[in-house]
Amino acid sequence: MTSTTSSAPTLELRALTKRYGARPAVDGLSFECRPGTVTGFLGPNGAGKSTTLRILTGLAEADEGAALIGGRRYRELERPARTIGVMLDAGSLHGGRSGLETLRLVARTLGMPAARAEEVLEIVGLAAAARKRVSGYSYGMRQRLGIGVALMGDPCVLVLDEPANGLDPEGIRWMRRLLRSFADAGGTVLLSSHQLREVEATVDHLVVISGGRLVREGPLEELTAVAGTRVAALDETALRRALDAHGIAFEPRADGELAVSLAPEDMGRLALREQLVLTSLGADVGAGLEEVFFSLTGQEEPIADEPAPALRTA
Amino acid sequence: MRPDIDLRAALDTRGAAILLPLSLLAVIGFAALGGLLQPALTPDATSDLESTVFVLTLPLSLIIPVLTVWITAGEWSDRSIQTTLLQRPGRLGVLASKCLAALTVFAVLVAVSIGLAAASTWIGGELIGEGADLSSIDGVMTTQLATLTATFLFSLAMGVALQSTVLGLVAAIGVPFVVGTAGTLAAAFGSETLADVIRAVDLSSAAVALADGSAGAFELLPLLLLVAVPVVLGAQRWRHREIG
Repeated sequence: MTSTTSSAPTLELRALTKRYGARPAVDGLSFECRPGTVTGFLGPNGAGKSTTLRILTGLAEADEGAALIGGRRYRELERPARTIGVMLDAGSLHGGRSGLETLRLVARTLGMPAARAEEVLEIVGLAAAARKRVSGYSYGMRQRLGIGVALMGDPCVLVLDEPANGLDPEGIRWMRRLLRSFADAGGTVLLSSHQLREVEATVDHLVVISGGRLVREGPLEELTAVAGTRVAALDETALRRALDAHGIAFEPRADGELAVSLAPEDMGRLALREQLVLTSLGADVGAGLEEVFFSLTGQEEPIADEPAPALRTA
Repeated sequence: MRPDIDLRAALDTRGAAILLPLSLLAVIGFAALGGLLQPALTPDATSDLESTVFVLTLPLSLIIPVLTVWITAGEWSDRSIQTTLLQRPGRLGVLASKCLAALTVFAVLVAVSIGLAAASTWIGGELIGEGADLSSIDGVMTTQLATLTATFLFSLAMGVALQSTVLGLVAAIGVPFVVGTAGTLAAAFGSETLADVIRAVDLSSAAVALADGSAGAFELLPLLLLVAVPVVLGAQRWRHREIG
């Protein structure tokens, strides 16, 4: 997006449902992506992210509900690529064309000047490989070209599926800056990714889905903010019994303390009432996105010390 | 509809850079073979346009399916249809545009082929042999052109219906071969029932009959079964097929 605008359309999903046979791939999913924000779209494999993005971009049809861009379906948009730039699968770029030919063809399709192709190749850092055929590109270069195709129409909305895949650290930093500046200029960005650290560093709003359903939506800070209280007592058994008695959820932490879903002052009052001697009490530090993701999607976090199955010895 | 985009998309790839010159070489080679060698092979040492075009139909019956299926179904096979439909989400418009692009390529190819055939016939007849007969152009129009048009229409239908380069090519080249062989066998065995069944799917014979004005209602059946029905079903699939 070359010009700052506050009129970028909102992406809106309303009770979107898509079934394959009896199995719902997307189940009543609703959320919004507003202009000026980068929205991270997270979920484990098979959660329905790709299906949702395909419906949003008109490549698949929903059984119920609607996916709207500024109140209109993708297929109803006139020259949609001038409004919404999409990169779902860099593998769909034709391998028999050069990067420059690919972008020139897109420019012609979108009614953009041919010079826009060279301009975008510079933006995505592929100017040196402009005349090389796409089949000779590395995966990261294809990703860059795919992002270039998305940018060709100078859109005010970007929808990207795993854009950081295959990018080197410099490329990831470049993409992060690109998305941030795009949103800061008033654009709307929806970013699906498995790379939680990249998402954490880039997005300001999160949508987490699992099993096709919305699990949590909100600002990144809110979702990763203080989660509760850490507490330890001389008599840990008595502490656990007291928490159980009051129906308060807790989980043991690695350091021997308990993580409790209470504010620290309420935990203090409870300890006083139950005559417990506390050895430590304090607000829990904010959880990382990784922890939030695993807890929200019900997935087990891999254990660091456990070897990968292929590396196990007999 | 943007047939110009689809033409350019089909012609600016490495595949096109290999396929088109090879096709042109084959057409030039067979045109030369037909026109220049005829005087040496015919008793009156003349060269006849219809015979030259007949020789040319051999490579064209392969080139036309390859180009037509490639233009209509190629993007489904190499997955670049995703990029196309993201930019041009009107699916039936894209389909119609690709059909127009394929028709344009077919028309140019046939025009160039007939032009080359006429030139080689004249050179072979007038400069090498005892004379050239270009008056058989009517026969070319009612027989060879009708056959080539049938090949084009069936290839188009297979590309639209199957949306796969490999499957489309197998069907577009294989089915006419099977029908032709079955027709020969039916004639050899003298089975009228089998002959009628084969007539119902023999698009080339129906096209020739339609072109020379001898066709009845029965000749519309191959057109319906091998062109209209696959195109309608393919267009429906094209509208709703999921991508990705």
